[in-house]
Amino acid sequence: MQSMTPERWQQVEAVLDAALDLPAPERAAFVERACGSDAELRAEVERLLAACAAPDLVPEESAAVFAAGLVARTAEFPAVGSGRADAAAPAGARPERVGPYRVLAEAGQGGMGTVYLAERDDGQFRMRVALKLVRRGLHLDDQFVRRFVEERRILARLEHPNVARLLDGGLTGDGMPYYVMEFVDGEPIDRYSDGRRLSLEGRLELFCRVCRGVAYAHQNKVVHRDLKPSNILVTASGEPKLVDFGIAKLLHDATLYTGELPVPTLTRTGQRLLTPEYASPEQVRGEPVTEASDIYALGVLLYELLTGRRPHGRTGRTPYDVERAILEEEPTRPSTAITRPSAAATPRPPARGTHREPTPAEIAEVRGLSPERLCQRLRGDLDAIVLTALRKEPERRYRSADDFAADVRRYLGGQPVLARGDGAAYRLRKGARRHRVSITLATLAAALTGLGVVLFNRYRAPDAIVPGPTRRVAFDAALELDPVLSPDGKRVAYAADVGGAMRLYVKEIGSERAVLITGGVPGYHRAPRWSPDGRHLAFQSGGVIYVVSASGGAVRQEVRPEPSAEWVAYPAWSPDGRELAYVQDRVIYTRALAGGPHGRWPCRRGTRTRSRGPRTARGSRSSRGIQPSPTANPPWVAPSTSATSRPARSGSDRSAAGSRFASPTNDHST
Amino acid sequence: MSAQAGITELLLAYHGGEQEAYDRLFPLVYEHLRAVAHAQLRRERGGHTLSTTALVHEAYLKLADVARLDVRDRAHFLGVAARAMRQVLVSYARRHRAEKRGGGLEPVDLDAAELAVEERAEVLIALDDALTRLAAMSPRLAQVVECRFFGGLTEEETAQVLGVAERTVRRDWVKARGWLHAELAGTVAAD
Repeated sequence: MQSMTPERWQQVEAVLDAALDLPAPERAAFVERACGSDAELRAEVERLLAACAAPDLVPEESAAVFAAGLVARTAEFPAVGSGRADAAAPAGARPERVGPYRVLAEAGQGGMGTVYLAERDDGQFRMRVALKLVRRGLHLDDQFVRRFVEERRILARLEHPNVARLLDGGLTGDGMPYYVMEFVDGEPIDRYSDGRRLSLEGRLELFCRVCRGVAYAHQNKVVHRDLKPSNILVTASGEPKLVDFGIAKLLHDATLYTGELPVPTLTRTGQRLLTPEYASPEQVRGEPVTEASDIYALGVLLYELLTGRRPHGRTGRTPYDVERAILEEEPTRPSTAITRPSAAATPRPPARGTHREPTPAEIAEVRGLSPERLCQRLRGDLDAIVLTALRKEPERRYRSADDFAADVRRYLGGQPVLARGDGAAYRLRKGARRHRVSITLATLAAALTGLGVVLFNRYRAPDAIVPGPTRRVAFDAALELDPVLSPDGKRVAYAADVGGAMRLYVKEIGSERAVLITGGVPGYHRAPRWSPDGRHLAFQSGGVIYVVSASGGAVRQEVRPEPSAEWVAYPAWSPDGRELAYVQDRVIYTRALAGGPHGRWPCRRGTRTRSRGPRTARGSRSSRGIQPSPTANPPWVAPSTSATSRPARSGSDRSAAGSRFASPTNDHST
Repeated sequence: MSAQAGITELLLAYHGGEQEAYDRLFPLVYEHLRAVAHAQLRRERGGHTLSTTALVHEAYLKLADVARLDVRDRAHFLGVAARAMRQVLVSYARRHRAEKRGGGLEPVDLDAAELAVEERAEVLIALDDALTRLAAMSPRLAQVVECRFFGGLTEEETAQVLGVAERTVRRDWVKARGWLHAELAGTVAAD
């Protein structure tokens, strides 16, 4: 069908409006007069007039009613991964049966869904199981189902006393995935240890058994990826069992896929899908996850079991801060973590229901010691063991969970501990060792093959960028968001979550290889913006705007907004690439990359100027953002609330060559 | 922070026209409506299917702390909800179509009910596409359709959302439906 420009439409609409104001019999004549010699205009108006009078093709009943049958017959599709689904979901959603299992009771809420106590109900024998039902629907294309089945098959082969067995799994009639695990009647390892006031030896012994389970899985090429106390349950007989192997990753990927329009998956305060405190530096960087990441997590676990604190997390710190600490700060030695809470070490989040942080006295008490004695015991060998596992470089950690446990046993046996050696014993790799390919979805996803998603969905104006037919860029749509084409049309920048952290990547169109661009920057990265010369990307993370080279490498520049905020909106480039602008509290700030004071442009609702810059389809959110306006005054246009920026005080326009707006020395204060 | 408190805060912030507030508000409302749609609309045969209007208004009552919000905030919410509802329903339609085409299953002997459902999916998709084209030409007309049809809002509510007079909304509705008719007549017939 013909697509009209807005200007043309205005003409058509003007005549149409006037005609509709007239009684029906007079319209035809009016239109003829009004359109004069413009036959095309007349045809348009007449066509529309007829359509206005015709019976509706827009359904009579309300949309929801119209769609009811459709919804009933279509599998549920994914939700925004905000984790607040429980607040919004309708009540009483507990299913009675899932596949061949009968649901008995709700056992708990996991990150991804609800865990039920269920019973197999096929007449032959009754077995109690833990049934985990994904609360949100998943995109059920062939590829996903195949992956899900494959992953499940691999995990089902794991059989070990310290690993909760995956028994079964499938899709319900509604298309929701579920999986069934051996029901572990146990407590999270931290609560178990504190509740029974386990001594250090007791905790270390427990820990060794956890390591056995992890080592077994690693030997079978399965990485857990989400080791933390709530995923390690200890039974009454004192046997720890690992739960939620690999599944966390599988479901995490799937919930990011939303169908047509990208929808932000996290709210501003950031409900992380991966607990940042347990994430290894390479996970935070967005690099592939390996066994070494599990070793790191074991190190954090041991740290917590021994000291009651975590190496980096701190209540009140944002996930951004935690990630930064993981990347950049050295963890406090366990022996000093208890008595110096003001240092990098942090108090553990308090037990549910309380708000108080445990004091050093309390921490020591549940370990059967005095605070001084506890610090003394931790000093030396245990410090060294824990810190070895927490090394930032994966190759410098314990090579395997077995090695880790072996060193702990040496300590328990009074023997010299290898961690305190000169490190030669931990020359773990001869040269650069390639990470073994582990069967996690991270690996599968990193291949970035699969569902083809047209880069430009129909919500982009066709004159946006590339001439010629729309190119098809293959993405794994489960992971990737915010694709933006480079100015030269040869590369695309996008946000993706490969290892549990949202990072930015650049890919050549037509190639399968993607370059990780923002690995070293903590936080949650979205909405990359190409510089006009295509050599840099700007984005915001944790309230700071970063400029990075589009070919990867160190961060070129950081722009810290003033006043600083936790979140800053829409960095945008000036046309000459020399300035960045961002919005904060209805003020547009500009900052020259070469330095200098920033400009301030308070916004107010002004006249609706239609930007003649890059066009954005009104219904689209994917290309929102402030843009340089074509005129120098106002120099920036803010998005669809139709606010336009005006300088607080008009000054002379001292534009530098190529710059489209007043220089920053025209600073204005309110 | 409960979802309710979050949405209320965001609505209050949106009051000032913050684009950010909208961006953060939308996913919350979307999620709610998606879940509700799944739960409420699954009953094909029930004679008590809720209208969109009811769903949207109910969402407002559930999600927002109405005591703290005024008429304008409510209008903002309804506008967001209308858009969210559109997205939810159209997503179902596209999923349905994708499943039919990509499922690898041979459609054998579709019964009349199944065919009707397919047709509905196609109508919704065509409508959504057309609305997008309309929005490129005249954003307000598209929004009127979104509010009225997808959101089930009254003329008065739509006027509040868009900040125009009611008679403008009425006229817009006429023009928009006319335009859509002209567009859809060609599309639907071509299938």
